[in-house]
Amino acid sequence: MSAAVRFVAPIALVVFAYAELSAVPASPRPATPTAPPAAVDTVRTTMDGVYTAAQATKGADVFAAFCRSCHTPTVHTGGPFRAKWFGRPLDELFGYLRREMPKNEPGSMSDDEYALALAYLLRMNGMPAGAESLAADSAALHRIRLDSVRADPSTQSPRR
Amino acid sequence: MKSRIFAVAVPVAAAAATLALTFSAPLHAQAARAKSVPQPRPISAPGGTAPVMTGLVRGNAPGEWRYWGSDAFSTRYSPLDQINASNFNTLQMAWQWNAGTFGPDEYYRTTPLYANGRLFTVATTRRSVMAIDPETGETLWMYRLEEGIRWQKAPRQFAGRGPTYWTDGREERVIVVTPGYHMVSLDAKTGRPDPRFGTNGVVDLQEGLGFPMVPLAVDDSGSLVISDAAPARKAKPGETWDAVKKVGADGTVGIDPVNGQIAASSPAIMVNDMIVVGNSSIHGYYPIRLRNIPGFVRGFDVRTGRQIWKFNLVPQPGEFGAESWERGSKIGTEGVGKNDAWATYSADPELGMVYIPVGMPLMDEYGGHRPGNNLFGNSLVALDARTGKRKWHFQMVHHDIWDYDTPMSPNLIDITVNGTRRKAITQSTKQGWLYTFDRATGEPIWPIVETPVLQSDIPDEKTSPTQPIPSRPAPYSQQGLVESDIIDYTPAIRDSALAMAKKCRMGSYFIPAVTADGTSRSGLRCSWYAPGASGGVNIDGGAAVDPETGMIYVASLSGLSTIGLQKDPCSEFRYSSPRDNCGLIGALTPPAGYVTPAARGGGFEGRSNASVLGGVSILKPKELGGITAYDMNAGDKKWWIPNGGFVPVKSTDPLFASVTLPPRAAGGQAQLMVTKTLVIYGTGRGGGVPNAKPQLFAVDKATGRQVGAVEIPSRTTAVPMTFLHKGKQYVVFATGAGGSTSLVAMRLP
Repeated sequence: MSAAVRFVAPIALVVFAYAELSAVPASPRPATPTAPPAAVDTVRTTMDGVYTAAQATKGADVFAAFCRSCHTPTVHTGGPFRAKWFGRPLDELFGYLRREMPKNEPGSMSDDEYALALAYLLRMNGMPAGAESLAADSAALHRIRLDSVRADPSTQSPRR
Repeated sequence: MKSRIFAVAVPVAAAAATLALTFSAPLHAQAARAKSVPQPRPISAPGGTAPVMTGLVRGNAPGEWRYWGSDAFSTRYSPLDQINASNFNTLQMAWQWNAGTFGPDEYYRTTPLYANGRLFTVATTRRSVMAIDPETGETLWMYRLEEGIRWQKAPRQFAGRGPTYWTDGREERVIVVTPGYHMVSLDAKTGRPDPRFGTNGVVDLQEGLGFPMVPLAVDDSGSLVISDAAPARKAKPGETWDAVKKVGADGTVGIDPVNGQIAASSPAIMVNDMIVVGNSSIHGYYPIRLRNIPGFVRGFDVRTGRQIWKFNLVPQPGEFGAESWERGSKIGTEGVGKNDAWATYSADPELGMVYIPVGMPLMDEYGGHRPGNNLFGNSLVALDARTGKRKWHFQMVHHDIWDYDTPMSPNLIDITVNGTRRKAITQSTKQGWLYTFDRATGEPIWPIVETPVLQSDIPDEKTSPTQPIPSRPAPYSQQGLVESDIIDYTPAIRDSALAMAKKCRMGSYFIPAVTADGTSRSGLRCSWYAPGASGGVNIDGGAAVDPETGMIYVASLSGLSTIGLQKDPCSEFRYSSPRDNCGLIGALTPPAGYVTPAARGGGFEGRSNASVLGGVSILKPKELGGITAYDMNAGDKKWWIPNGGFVPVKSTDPLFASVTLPPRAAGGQAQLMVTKTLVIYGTGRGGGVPNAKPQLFAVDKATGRQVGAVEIPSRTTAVPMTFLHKGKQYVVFATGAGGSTSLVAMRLP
């Protein structure tokens, strides 16, 4: 059985509420005062294919290496996770992971590893892979909204 | 207490014990299986393949690697020198053994063993055992125990740190402690369970601890949640198994889950013919329940699997140390749990002693439910390996609230201190200190001084007024945070950095957590936490010693994070680090109207790496973490190197515009061993220079100067090992995680 099969939990099986990633993150603290974050000028959502399948596969291994000892995959896909993160720009989740995870050694992974783990989190939540890589770049991630609908409703496929 | 009920069948396990898969079993293996009751054998066994018993050094044969730490002393030392400074860079990959084909894992944290011509390893979340041809990487045999829901709800579902090897010069065994807490003894030649050991080769380690054994059932198909949510339960009469949904009762028997969870991730250690085995307990990160199964150490006869002795790591009423639990230590009492010795162990076969590095009490960050010093938590305990009687102990952290479990086997080393030869033992720790003792008596080699420390201001938390601080050697990791630690490249930088530092509670070491909502007396919302819960030394790193020179090489982290506690409304604990378990199976119901907090007060509380100002750590760069070499004859630091190199530090913040910033040391836990001339190390799963190609490094062990580096397929995930096979020296290490785990063997062309 491949890691991918093992770690992708069908959403139907999700029964756990989850708190760890359910808190709304604060913005990364700037060292010196800067302008407040611009309003979300998101041009895409996570339903628009914002990571590659290869990233998610690698991300599953990153998850196994750094996250799984505390987090079972099912707890990243429940209602509380959606309630807390959906609708927010992706850089906030990225910043949260980078600032607070892993718990025992926050900030200890490379930026690329955080991005791979994030790609895997997106796949876990049923968001499709695409042709473009997810970059470990807060500005780029700020323009992607975590959501279950595509940015342009006219391209929205019928939802199951 | 002692159970001899080996006749109690564990249906799943017993059935599976016959499922040892044998790939190309050598023909002589069948003939070698004696029918008679085993007796101690003469050392000179007939035949050319008899394992070496004469000339054992610290329990290891020359050029072999029979223990997790190379030998019983956990030296991680090999006298081999075929691979040396002159040729290290010509090392080539001999083979890569793909563990991922056998199943997924977490990160692959195993160090294999080499004995008598074979390599032995464990792999996958099932902790399958394999023998491998050291020359070709071919799988010789494989054994896997099907443990049913004992595995499904096992708290440590991963390959673990390795198997155990034993021989009397004729019989050879490979022993594994499984995720579901069975112990299996396999014939090293064939992989078949030893029919004279336990029941068909299997001992149920959940037996013999004094807990009732019951038929088990599960309500969900998932694994145990780390907080101890979604556990198994006692089966109802007549309950059956739904093999498709993976719920119900599958016939598995185990400790009644109302008592808590038990597991193991490290191998047992052999001390002569005694198997010494401990356990791990539930993780202490975010537990829900105030009572859980504590740690035990037991001795078993290697030939029969019979339990000979048991030592309680939470001393029970009437036993030595019970008074260090002010509200009682009896199993089932509020606050009693853990104190599990989950790391690897060490032994001195001549002294007949085994050395147990003990973890911390339940739970990691708050001890208000368990006032007292909580023996034998955070202690090094020396036991008589034949009887299990305590010879001496030393508690390194009193009443731990920092998650300072003892994470690594102690290193035994003979040194000359002030002209006197000493049989010493030194314990590397998460808290960044080495604690060094006479291993026969427990007397500290250098004074370890009870020193007043900061006190907690969290309600009901009674911290120890003092902690023991070694006078020698100096620590290898950042200790707390004080003003002189703060960067001061310019007055403005110092002012900004100090302002940031003062947002959290500061101190020299052992800084107690505050409440994350700012309601404890200091009004602060966080405490500085250094070393953090990953050390210092932790499971991935640790030390190697050189028995010829008395040097010790310590691989560690040196970080700076923060900690603040709050109430999890769905846990029985009054405080934990921020989290709520609400909604998990087995968690408490949240109070009416409870809403998960919308924010955690700016991301600066709880556990965070928020010690960075404009991309620059507020800590002055120091020679800490990485690899520190000490001369233990004197207790002096000899050299220090970072883990894999330095990383440039750049900032776009105007605050640093006028400053040339020094590079920082690469992070992570190095994974090292020592040979005749070299320290050989990998950077660990999260270590080294970011985006650098994964490498295996060699440094001159006398000076720390790098003398070689070779590219490897991916970063090491466990401590490497080395051995001589058919005249060639090999270096083998585990790598990878998830579906891409493997062992990699390197040798000269």
